[in-house]
Amino acid sequence: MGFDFKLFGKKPTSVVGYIEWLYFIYCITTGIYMLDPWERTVFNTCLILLLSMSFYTAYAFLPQHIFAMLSHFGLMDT
Amino acid sequence: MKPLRNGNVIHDEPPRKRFQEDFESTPLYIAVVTYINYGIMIVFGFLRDFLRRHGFEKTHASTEASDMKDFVPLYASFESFYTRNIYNRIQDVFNRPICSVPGPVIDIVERQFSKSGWMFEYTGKVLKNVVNLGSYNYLGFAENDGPCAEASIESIEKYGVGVCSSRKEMGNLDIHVKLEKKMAEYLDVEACLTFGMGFATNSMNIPCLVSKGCLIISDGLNHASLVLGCRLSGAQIRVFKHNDMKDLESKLRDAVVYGQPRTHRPWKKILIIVEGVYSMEGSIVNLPGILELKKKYKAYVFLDEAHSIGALGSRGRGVTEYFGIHPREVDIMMGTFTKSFGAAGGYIAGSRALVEHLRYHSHSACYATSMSPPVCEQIITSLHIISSTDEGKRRIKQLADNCRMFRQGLKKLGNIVYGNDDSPVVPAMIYAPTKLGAFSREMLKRGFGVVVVGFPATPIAESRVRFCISAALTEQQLQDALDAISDISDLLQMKYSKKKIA
Repeated sequence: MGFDFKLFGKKPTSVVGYIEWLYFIYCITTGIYMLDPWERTVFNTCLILLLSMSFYTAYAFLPQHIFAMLSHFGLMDT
Repeated sequence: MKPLRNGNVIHDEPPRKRFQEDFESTPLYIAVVTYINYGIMIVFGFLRDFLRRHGFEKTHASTEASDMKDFVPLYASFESFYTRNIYNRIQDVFNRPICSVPGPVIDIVERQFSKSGWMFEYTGKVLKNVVNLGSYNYLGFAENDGPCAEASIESIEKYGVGVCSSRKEMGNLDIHVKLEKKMAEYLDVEACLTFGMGFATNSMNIPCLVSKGCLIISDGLNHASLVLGCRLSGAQIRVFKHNDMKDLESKLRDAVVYGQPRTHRPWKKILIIVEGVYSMEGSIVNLPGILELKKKYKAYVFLDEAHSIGALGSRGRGVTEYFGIHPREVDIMMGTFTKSFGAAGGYIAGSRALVEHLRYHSHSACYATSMSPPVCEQIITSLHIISSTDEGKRRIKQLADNCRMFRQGLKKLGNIVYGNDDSPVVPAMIYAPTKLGAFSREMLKRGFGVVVVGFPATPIAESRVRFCISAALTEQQLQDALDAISDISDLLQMKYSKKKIA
């Protein structure tokens, strides 16, 4: 349950508090606020895995794709 | 605005403000967030159900007995899935036990919940002096001292507490007759009949008024008691959009022109069922519009004033006084004593012929035990206070001031608030189920007890928090509540409204 958030009804102003509040809003928006801590870990792990794999793919393959597209449409010399 | 004219009587009410109702539409991003929330919860719900079914996790929910596993499943619908996996996780914000009189401040018994909200235990502590923003205590009569409580104690000394009989047998006490006479005078109708339970008043009496061959046209957002009564009666039911006079008129025209479904015979009776104040929306019925249509198409009107009696109108006589309409225009007026009078029970009032018919044909009057004497005495005393003393006038004015101040304050903060400006019920929208739980917990930490409502009482994507304003709350308490709501709305990003209020 969401009892492990120590916020007390005010939007925090300090830097550390602000980052904690951002994580709280992320939990509220995705819905994992209502899940058990272990379910939250599972969800966060899956999300981080997915995002890191996407970023790696983009980093490794995006330049080639963009090059191929532009030369196909004739906007760049091959 | 010209004064309203009913027959030959002109009512000189001051010009009624423009009928101001507000249902701001849902912003797109919060609808997306709400559906994402439900999506993730459903995915994890399936995961947990899988773990429970294959024994990796202990099941706390009700399941079938082991020798009935091959039968048709009992618990397979979405309702039980929703309860197990979504409702139970924020269960600590619902059903909070109270251990004091439900006045302006209450004491809440503290509970400690286990993981996923399956089990709880009482810690032994009591949270004292939590400001009560959820009880239906509109005029502040939920008190354990004062003239009402004194009179109730005297009546216990005279009559005892139980009546031990139904109304038709030996349960017709003189205090019931006195109560009915006083209520009929208060409402300015010919006669009135009272029952021990408000829900039963609707569900047991509508079957006496209509039957097969009649048509009921009811508002889309009617209360469960009205829906149950309509279904039990066996009449044909048609629903019109909430407070929409054009839709109602088209349904009435179809009914009068085409008659009953296959035979096209004319309907025996057409009954329009509406409520005075709708408790989930905070809106007030458009009574002048409905009465105009009723006269034009010769239908009957059943008005359920559960939340509006005592709370609307300059003398607390309900929604008819609010609009300046004479009560005899409405055929059947029903209401409850639970909300503004601090008691329990319901009444039906109207012409003498109607009341005598119900007295002999109603299931509730025949078989249910009659109202307990201290409860009757509480209502009689509170009626006397409301109608003839300065204290009553002060309470009515205090309620109107509180409603206005709280609603305007909430709108200024930027929350979306539904409903009419004058209704004592103030629903503020929350939409997402995670924010529902977080809002209620944060308010309790700050010492305010609120009622949050989600599915199935509201549509699935429109959860809200419902504040019920009371005349017993002081302006300071309401201002503190508004400050707390402002802080928590900033924290949870709940200020969705796009309208700019000065």
